[in-house]
Amino acid sequence: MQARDTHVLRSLSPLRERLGTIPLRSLSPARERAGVRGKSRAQPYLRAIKIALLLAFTTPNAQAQTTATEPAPQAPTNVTIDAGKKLYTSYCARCHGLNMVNNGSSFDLRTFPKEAKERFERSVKEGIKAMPAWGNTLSNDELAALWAYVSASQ
Amino acid sequence: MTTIFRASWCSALFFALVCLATTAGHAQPSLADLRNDAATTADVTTYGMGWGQQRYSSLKQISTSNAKRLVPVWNLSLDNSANASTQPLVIGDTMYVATHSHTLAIDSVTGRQKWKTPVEVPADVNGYLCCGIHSRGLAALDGVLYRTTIDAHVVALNMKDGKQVWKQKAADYKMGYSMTHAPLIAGGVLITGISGGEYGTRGFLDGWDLKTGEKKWHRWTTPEPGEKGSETWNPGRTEKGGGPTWLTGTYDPELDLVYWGTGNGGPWNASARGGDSLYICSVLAIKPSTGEIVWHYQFSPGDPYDYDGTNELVLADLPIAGKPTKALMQANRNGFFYVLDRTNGKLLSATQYAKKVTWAKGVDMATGRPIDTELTAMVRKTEEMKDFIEVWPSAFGGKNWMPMSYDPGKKLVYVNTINMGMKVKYQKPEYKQGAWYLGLDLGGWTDPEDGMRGALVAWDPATGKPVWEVKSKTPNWAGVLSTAGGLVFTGAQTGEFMAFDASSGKKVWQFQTGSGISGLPIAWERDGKQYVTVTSGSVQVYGTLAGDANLANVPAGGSVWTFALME
Repeated sequence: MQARDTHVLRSLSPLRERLGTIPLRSLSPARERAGVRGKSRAQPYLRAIKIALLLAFTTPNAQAQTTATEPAPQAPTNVTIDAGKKLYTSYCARCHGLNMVNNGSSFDLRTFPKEAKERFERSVKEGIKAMPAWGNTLSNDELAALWAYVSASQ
Repeated sequence: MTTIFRASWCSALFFALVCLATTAGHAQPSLADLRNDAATTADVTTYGMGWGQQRYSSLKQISTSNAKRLVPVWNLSLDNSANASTQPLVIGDTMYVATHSHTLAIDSVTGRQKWKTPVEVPADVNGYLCCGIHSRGLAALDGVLYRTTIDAHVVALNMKDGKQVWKQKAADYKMGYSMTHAPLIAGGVLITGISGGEYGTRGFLDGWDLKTGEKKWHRWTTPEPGEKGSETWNPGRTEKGGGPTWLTGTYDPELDLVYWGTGNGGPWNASARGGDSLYICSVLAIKPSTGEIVWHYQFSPGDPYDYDGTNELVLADLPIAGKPTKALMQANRNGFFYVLDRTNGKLLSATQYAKKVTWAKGVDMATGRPIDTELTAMVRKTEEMKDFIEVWPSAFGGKNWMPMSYDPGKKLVYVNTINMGMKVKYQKPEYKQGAWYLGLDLGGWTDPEDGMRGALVAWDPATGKPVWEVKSKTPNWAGVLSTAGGLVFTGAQTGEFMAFDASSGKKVWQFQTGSGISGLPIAWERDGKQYVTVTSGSVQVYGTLAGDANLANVPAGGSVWTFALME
């Protein structure tokens, strides 16, 4: 019991760290659209999500899941999202905005349909409208990581 | 001369027409025209309205008392949605405008397009531009226009018909190099810089033969291994070391010195580069004929925050301690307003003009170096960190590239400033061609308590004090023009072209131009009538990166607007 709890906590702590920085920004589009203003206003909202997620992971079922396999199933996804965010900042942010927030001068990626992975990959690879083709620059793995980051928004 | 010679072949009528054109001073700005640009009101032959880039006009027909009667005379579509962040030239009866996709000649009074020459750029070039699509202006001499292209070429065009005279490649855009600035003609040479500091490139300046386009000299802005300055870098770092030269320098013909600013280091991560990283974030004083560096001053040694030293280096004779002094001024991205003796690079003053500065406590006047805060001292030592830190000003700077104006009568500077912080977390830099090479994660921006991200400020450079300011929720990203009519012109990202009373900062006039203004206004006259021209077309670098809700409904679309007093 003791050992299991520690294990759960350990596997949660990197997730919590990430929640504090990356995904939560994209979880709060309204705040972002307002121009990253009013830290305090957004805080209760963020805390509520954090608590909700922590609760979800500490239910018996979630415990069983996280402890049954090694590594925990959530971890690779978040690693991919992180990698995707890094790629996003290097290649995409200059037009689509930091944390996917821009003034409407380029496509708002937070509104990209979550089921349209193929469309996303095709647009990025081949280019569309003002966006050049990235097919020669980004590998398939990198595209997948980018999609993980973009589709995790909202 | 050649026009007259050729005309002798033709009919008498044609000959008479050519004579008229020649006497009207059509064909060519001479070197004397460039040198006197600040003093002559009929033309604008240089980027900056004079080699010293004061952006001041002695015209006073339009003044504080009648500015309310300003109306548009003509508008011309630039037929594209990129930044219209450019300064037109006016030579004879023709206005010349550079966009990223075309060079245009326009009848200056009627606004009718005379010719339009496309710029051929590869389809994938947008993938290699850090900060939006720009072409900021032109140089002109002896019937030839000179410009740069976003795929890093330099082009000479015949002013009469827009036909290409020569074209030279300055660098490989696939390495992340690009060019957006107006070239500078100085010392009988065409001088260009380079953009691309976010891509692990290495900055340089080039000198080109005006007639043939032959490269006369090439000056890297970071040293070779073993060369002077290489001791200010970690080994093997200078080749991707940045120091881009992405805006146009100024020129003092008496001292025969060109002043050119250099940008951020590559990567931004200071600890990875090590040391001061010469000559990033500096001003270089160079001999235009050879590119030799005569002196340098580094504003932000070992910069970790993208505080480029590229902002315009305005030349003026300032009363310093009661003595007229050959000065050079810069409102640096790092939040300090610098005044240097331009004969030798000696620092005369460095005063905080940005509202909030947390990276330095000030500038040590004895050494000329910034006094680090604890934050910066820590950042310099930390290649990788766990948490985001917050620093002011942001990478946008206390002021970005949009050039200020200096009124030599009032001895005041008018400058569009920015008040924002940023969150960064330093990470081990990884180079990949075509990707941003920063060595950090950008977390976002922080706003000032009053929510006012910008201000147009009247600044006294001799005392280092503000005289008035006009705050705005969204910072202005346009150039500033001041005139002897007591007016200060600039534009808002929400589209308003505005005139302010230079003495009080009171807004006396505005006009909605239909897109955000990122252009550089100019004043000129024709047949005794004063005109003011500005390009409108939204601002991408701020718009895309800064997520400003205020701009959500400002459409793109470039055009040229010319105004005059209603008859």
